[in-house]
Parts: sequence; C-alpha cells; structure tokens
Amino acid sequence: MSAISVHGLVKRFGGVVAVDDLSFEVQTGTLTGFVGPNGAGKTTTLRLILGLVRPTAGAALIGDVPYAKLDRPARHVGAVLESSGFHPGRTARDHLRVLAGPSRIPTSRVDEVLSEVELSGAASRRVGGFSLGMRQRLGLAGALLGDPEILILDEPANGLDPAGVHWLRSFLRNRVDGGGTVLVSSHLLAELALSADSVVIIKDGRLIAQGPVADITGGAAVVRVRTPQAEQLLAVLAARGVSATLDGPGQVVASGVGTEVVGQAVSEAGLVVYEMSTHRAALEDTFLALTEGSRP
Amino acid sequence: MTTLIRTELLRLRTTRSTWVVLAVGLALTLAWAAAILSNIGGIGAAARGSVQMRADLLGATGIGLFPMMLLGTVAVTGEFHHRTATSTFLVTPRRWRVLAAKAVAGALVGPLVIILLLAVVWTFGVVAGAIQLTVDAGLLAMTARSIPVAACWALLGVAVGVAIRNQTVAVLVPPVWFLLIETLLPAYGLSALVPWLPGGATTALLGGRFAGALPAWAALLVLLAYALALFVPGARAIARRDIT
Repeated sequence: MSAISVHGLVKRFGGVVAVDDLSFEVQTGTLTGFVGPNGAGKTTTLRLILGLVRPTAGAALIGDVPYAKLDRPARHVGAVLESSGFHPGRTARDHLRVLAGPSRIPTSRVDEVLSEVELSGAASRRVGGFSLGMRQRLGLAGALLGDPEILILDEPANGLDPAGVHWLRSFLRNRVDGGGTVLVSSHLLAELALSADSVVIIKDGRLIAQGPVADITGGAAVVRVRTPQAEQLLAVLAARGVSATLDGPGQVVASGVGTEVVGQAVSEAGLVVYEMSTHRAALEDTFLALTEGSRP
Repeated sequence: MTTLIRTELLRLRTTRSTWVVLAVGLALTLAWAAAILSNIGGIGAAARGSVQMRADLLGATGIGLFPMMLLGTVAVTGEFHHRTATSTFLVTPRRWRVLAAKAVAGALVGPLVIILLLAVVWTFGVVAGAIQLTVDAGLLAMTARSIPVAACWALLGVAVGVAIRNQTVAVLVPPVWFLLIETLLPAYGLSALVPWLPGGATTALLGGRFAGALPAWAALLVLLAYALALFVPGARAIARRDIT
C-alpha cells in the first residue's frame, strides 16, 4: 500500500490555481523526491497532504485516511515545513515539550530527539538566537518526536551548509533503510539525485513525471569507451546491431545498451580497452528538459 | 482535552512574555495602589483603616485585568504572529479543540493571577498601615467576586484573539474599548447601554453600584455571552482557514 496518495487534488487561491488535478503516490519504504521549479505548488501540495490547507477538490490520504482523521498524527507522520515556526522566546527543549504534549510523548523522548539532531548542547537556549541551520534541525527534531513511519520535509536543505546537507542525506537514507517513508521537496534536484529512490516532478501545479529515478532518466543511458582501437570497436558493435558513434579520437559512445553487452563484445573481439563507463543523463538535465518553458 | 489544556498551560509557562506581562500587571497594580495611599487625607479620599480604603486599594487590581486579558489574546494571535500555528495544528488537527483549550487555560490562570494580585495589594496596604489586619466577610466577598471577573477577562482575551488574529490590532482593541469608548458613552447620552457592555458588566460583577447595574449573575452571563459571541465565529473561521 502506498504511504501517501494524492487523488485529483486541486487548490485555488482566489483566481490562482496553485495545484491542478494532481495525483501521485509515495510507496511505503521509499525516499521520494518532490521536485519542481519555485512556485510549482510543492509547498501547497505538502500542506494539503497535512490538512493545513483545504483542497478545492480531490483528496490526499495518509495510508487510507486523511491526515486530519489520524489519531495522534505525530505518531504517524512527522513534518518539517518552514524554519520560522518557532516562538523566539522559548527554549529548544520547551518548544519540543509543547509539541510533545498533545500526543502524550514523554519528556525523555524530547531529549532523545535533541541528541539525534545533534542539538543537545543548545537545548536550553532560546530559539530566537538560533541560526537557520539550527532551526532546520530543531524542526526535524519536532518531526521525529512521535517516531513516525512517514516523514514529510519541505526544502529541508535550505540554510544547511554542505556538511549539514550530507548529514541530512544520510540521516534520511537511514530512516528509509529502517523501513520508514520519506517525502522530501526540493527545487534543486541534484540534492536528491544521490539519495532518492523515486521522484515526483511537478510544474504549475501539474504532474510532469513520476517514478523511480532510473526510469525517469533511464532512456538516456550511454556507455562510453576509451580504446586505441576505436574503429574496430565500432565495427564489432555495428555487427551486433548496437548503435555506436565515434566521439573524438579513441572514444566510442554506445547508446541503448549497458556495459554488459559492450564488455562481452570487447572480450570476444579481443580488443584493448582503457576505460568504460555508464553515463546516465543527469537528473538535473532531465528535470530541466521536463520543466522547460517554465522560465519567463 | 485535559492533555491539550495541560499543553496550553505549559505553553504559557515556557514563554518569557507571559512573565513579562504578569510583571507589568503587578507593577501597574502596585503603582495604582501607591497613588491611592499617597492621596490619603486628600479631597474625597477614604480614611486610613476604613472599609472604603480597603475597597479602593483592592480595586487597584482592576488595572491588572488588562495584562491578564492580553495573555489570553497573545496565546492565540502569537500562533499566527510567530507562525507556530503550523506545528500546533499539525499535532492537533482539530483546531477548535486547541482554541477551546486555550480558553480553559486562560480561565484557570486568570483567577490564580487575580488572587495573587489581591494578596500583594492587601499585604502592601497592611504594611503601609492603611488596611486593618482583619479577614472579614467583606474581604472574602470581594475576593470571591474578583475570581469570576478574572476568569471572564482571560476568556474575553482569548476570544478577542480568536476573532481578530492580527496581534497588533487584537492587543489594542481592549484598552481602546474599555478606557476610551465605554468611558465616553455617557457623555453622548448613551448611559442606558452601559450595564449591557463588557465594562459595565464587569463593574456590576465586582459589586460596583451605578444606575441600571445588572445583578451579579446577569453581569456574569453578559460577559460570557460577549466571549462566546467573539469566540464561536472566530474559531469557525480559524478551523476553515488555510494555514500557509
């Protein structure tokens, strides 16, 4: 069963259509990237999923119920939506205690999540003095309080330094490897390409593409071979019905096949090869191609 | 619901502004009491040690009602001002329950605060030699009347916040209403309205006498009606609102 599913979701703000007949699913146990250019409707969609914004039409479900119908939702879904949602006069620890209260989460768990996001040292400091990165971590700590099976994060890498982004990436990967489900939005696909299992791409509130990362970029995979016998290799590949071209001296590019087929051909023909690699079109390129025309 | 109320009390306790507002309320009350004490012997002032002096001094706590109302208002508007409404309503998607918990928390805190203020002013008066060190029925009656007033004002504060949501406006409306509009009405020949207005009802509930004053029970109902009239439509709007 899918962890999150969105069915024909529409949201109009006055005359502006922010989300337009959007449907997609997030499979349980995957890290799914939710990407689109700025203003594509990502934040609105996440807020619709979380019951903060009322849909004009359609529905969003967590498992098989709307978020607002979940019993103690913090125990099922953790969300990090914006870095400014803190009372500046409250300490980090007290902020989490207030969030933990309604779900009857004990204070000991507050200290656990603080150490999980490496904020124990700042627990009794007022949030008003926190850096953006620390606020992001505190937001994440809040999402983890109920040890939920699903995490939803909106642009979590904003304000994190490269080390922070790396830390976040492995943190989310660990959650998913432990059986959790993560939906993370970003306008920068490169952040996700390394870690996401699956992506949902939207533009102008509409679905552009959805599926495993490899499927979305898959069609464009090529094998690049560096060899002193480029002409022979071209002939061998042509004999096997593989389309290949010469790309500069000593460089052959075969498309539509994997390294297995090319390697087999090289071995049987007894050719010398210095280097062989698979090049997948970067997710970023695919993304730009798919969302082309979104810039003025 | 008890969990939510407890959470709201925790929220109040852990915010620095709560303590600042209470300190301001205490300072205002003491300043008012000091002004009354310094006026002893002046024209129209009650005599040292008289029952009227005690009533005047304890009446100084009335100024402390404003900060109390402010606490209730900010408990609601702060959620939007600091954008904590997102996480609050994520944890408790039934928004009206959160708002109701804030109202109940206010109604619990208000009486505690007024009792504290009364005790401080009474001690102040006794130490200053203006109040006799006796606890009689009159003193207990005054305290007993202050408790529902404090609860109602805290409730009204929450209701104002729920109805207005904009922190700056919501914070300014009560002082403008009570200190300006309701005070000026008699000058425009509208005295007949006063018993039915929140300020008039408060005075009546506190035992103040004026033309047309409602009995205490009716005054209490009037105050609760104002709180409900602000709270219900406001809460309905917040429940339907997009939290963005």
